[in-house]
Amino acid sequence: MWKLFLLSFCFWIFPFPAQAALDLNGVSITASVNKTSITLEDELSLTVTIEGAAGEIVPQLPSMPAFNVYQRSFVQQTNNFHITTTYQYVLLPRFPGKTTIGPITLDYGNKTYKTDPISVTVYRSPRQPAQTKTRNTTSTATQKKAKQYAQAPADMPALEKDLYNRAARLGNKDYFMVAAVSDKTPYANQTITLAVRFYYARPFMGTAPYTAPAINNLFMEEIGRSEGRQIIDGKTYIYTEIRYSLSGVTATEASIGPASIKYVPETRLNLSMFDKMFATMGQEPQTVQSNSISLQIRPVPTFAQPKSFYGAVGSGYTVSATVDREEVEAGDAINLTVKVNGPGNLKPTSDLKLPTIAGFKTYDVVSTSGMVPTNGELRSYKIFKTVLVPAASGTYSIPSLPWSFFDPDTHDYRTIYTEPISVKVTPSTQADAGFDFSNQQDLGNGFRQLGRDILYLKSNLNTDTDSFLSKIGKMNWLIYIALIALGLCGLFAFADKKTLAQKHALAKAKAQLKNAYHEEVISDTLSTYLQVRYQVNTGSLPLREISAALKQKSCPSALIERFEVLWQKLDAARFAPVDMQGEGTHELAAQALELIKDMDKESKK
Amino acid sequence: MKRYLLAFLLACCCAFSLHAGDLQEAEQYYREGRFAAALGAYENLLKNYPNDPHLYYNIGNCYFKMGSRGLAIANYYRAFRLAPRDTDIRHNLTLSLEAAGERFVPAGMPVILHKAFFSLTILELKGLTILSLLLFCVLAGFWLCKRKAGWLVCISLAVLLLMSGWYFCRDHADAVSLAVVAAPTAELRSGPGNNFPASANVAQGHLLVVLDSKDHWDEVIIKSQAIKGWIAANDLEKI
Repeated sequence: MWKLFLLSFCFWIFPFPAQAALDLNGVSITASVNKTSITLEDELSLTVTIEGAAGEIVPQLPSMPAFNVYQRSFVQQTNNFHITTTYQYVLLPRFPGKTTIGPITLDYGNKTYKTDPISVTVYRSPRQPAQTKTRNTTSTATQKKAKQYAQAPADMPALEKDLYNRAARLGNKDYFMVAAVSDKTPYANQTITLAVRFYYARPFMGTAPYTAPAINNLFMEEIGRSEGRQIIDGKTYIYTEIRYSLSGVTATEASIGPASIKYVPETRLNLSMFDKMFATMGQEPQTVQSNSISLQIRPVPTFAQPKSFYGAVGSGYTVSATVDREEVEAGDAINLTVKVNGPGNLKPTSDLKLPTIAGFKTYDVVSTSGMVPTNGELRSYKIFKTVLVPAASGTYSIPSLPWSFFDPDTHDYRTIYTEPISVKVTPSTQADAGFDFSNQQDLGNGFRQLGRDILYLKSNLNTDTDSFLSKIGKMNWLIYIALIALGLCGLFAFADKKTLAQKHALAKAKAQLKNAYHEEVISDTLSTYLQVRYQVNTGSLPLREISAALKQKSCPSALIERFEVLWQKLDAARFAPVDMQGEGTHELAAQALELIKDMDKESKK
Repeated sequence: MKRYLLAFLLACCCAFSLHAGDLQEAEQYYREGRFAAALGAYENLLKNYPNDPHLYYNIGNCYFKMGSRGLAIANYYRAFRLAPRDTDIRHNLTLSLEAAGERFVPAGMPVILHKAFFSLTILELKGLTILSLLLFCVLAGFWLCKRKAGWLVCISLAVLLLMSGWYFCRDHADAVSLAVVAAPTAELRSGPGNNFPASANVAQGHLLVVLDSKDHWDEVIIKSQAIKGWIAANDLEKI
């Protein structure tokens, strides 16, 4: 019993999370049409796609007085628990003019979802040419010349008009193909559209293999298929249209070869399904080809070409820039992504060149590109990624980045910009990697250095850092004592400078007499001493006057007499011939030294 | 009195044995690779022995092993100033400075001359200069009084001038306010504030000369690069 209860509980509980998951996944509704401009004979295919909604869901179509609306199909697919529901409607236009398919709504889970409105232009059916029935049909040539074809409405887009008119000219056949391009002289990298239509007024057997046109100097990408109807000369044709996006990379001549289809025409009507399966057997397939087209690809003008032009040609581009984080440490990398969206093929355009961004170290840009066919148009994107490394902290701004393209409609260049991005950089907190001790080298003698490291700890304290010199260094008072002592010595010397001068004179005399080699030196020494000791100048005075001066200076008479004797001996030695000299120089010097010493002793008494 | 003296000696012995135990414990942490714990223990010891070069050396080793090259250099430098003749300190300081892109011995100067110039502490050099002055004063006084031994006065004067010059150069070198980048990277700005643009990033371990300080910003010169600017004081370790 309890098992049954548990089972019931689970049965009731589980749907709720499932419902919640659906809500979390999100429900969306989109609507698209196979073409946005049609004639009154055409039919419009409206596709409504509902994503993520389960159960029986029916979108609410708006009032569309300009169309007769029929539901064509309903498909619901589940892939990885994701449900996609697709409704297809056929819209037959009722009158010409511009009309809008309003928002298609879906009420689901207490919410209402809406699609965007779609604008469609319906053109008037081309006027059927008046069947000029010439009464005088003398020649077929004249008939051909007189034949007039139904002309496409003037306000129809060029490509549709070209296709329409080409088809009108070939309308006398049951099966034929036409091809046309939106522009025969595009610029390099400009995207144009190639449309190839296979018209058939009668059904054909089985499938009809299609061969795409060969291209030269062009890049081609299929962007969609559609079907339609056209009445030519009163005959209703059904056509299948394949559209391609074309672009030339370089300025040159380009060509589009014919596209072809092999088919087996249905000759007998009212065949059963079984008969249709085997009716092609034994019948030769027929081939129809579209016309070839030549293109002249023009270069974009170089005059006034902006520096930020990288080769994009078209209109409706958008550019945006994002960073993976707006707050970062100095030295850390920021990923900058610049995304360009626009028509055509952006793959051959060059890479974005980043300007110098103040405060950041920039690196090379890496790009990726891709294409997405959307509603009969090829749109592409190019993503540029680079790394910016801020060098220092602060608030920096990644400036607006320019992106230029050439607009073929206005024939001039236009520049669009990204929004500036502010980045806050905080100081780095990362420690560096430390040391590399892998510096190995062979030192010879069997030694190999494996690396270098710091030496080990000191296991003891070194408290005895005060050496004798350090202790002396702390005794600043010693400097003052030494300087004071030196000063006192100087003072003493200054105070007793007379005595010191005499001492100095005695010391000098002693030194000179010790090495005296001539009587002249002895005389000079004696004169100098007398001048210092007694302030008596002996230079120009005769001996008598010198003696008188010494006597006046209180020199003892005995010393004066000894001086006179010595002075006469010195005079005699100086002026007498060499062989007449009595005593030797050394003896005279000894006598002079004795005299000076006695004079010094006398002064101390 | 004897009792007090005995108690004092006992207390000294106990204190020393406690510190020896702390030293062994710190070394044990270091050997086990627990550098932060070893650093804490050495810094505790430093409070009691603020002029011990071995403690600064060991603290430098701990910071080095923890990856803080700047703080390691700062502590090696402090140890070097206290014990300039210690070869281990010189080795570790040289190695860590070289790893930071700096040179311990200036380019072009012979290592032997650098060693000779830094063979004495500034205090020892001051003591030697004072002794030279004393010698000169004695000899000069003698000469003034006796007018004898004049050549000895000349020699002592030459020695005094040499020592004074050496001391002046060392004092001038030590008076320069050195700092080292302690943060992983420091930003050199043109003014004292974050609103001034950064002109360079300086990796940790670079030696700087601090010229001025203003509002927690230091004006510095990076001698190895010859550039000048302002760095946040928090990013620096003054030596």
